[in-house]
Amino acid sequence: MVEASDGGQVTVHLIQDLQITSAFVEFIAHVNPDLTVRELTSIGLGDNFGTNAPCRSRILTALFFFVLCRPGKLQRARPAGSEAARGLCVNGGGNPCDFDVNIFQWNNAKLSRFLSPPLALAASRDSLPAIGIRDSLGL
Amino acid sequence: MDKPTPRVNQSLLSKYQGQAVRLVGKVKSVPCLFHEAN
Repeated sequence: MVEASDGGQVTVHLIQDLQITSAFVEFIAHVNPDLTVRELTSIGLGDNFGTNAPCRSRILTALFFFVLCRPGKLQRARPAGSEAARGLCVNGGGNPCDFDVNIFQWNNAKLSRFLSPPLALAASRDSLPAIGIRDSLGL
Repeated sequence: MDKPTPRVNQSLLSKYQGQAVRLVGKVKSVPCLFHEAN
């Protein structure tokens, strides 16, 4: 069973001689009438396909500075997920009860709008290690 | 040149019945090929 890019589950009939060795795989396959597929060949794409580690690192760094510059704007909630950062939810409306948004569900445009003020503030403070932040954000 | 193989997701499969496609996905489960001996 494979989860496709749209989240749908697809049953793949594997060739017995071929082994699946990675979590993400591209199959070249024949589509059966019952919408299962029969593997013709497959290519392993590794275990981290689609995850953007540098981007995530930048977001975490920015989040860290957001906490430094605007304490109280972040609150810890929903500690689900394997990463500590997943438990960080953002209070977007100024009111802690307005809404909480998992930051990893945000697109880049929304993130940049959200992160600009605290980053600008961080850059203006000599006491903060702004050089590290600039580097990590590619500024 | 041969016609390229369409890259599909689950919802597009029905358009390509009987054809070869490319499908990228995350493996959720693999059938066990070995059975415990009695």
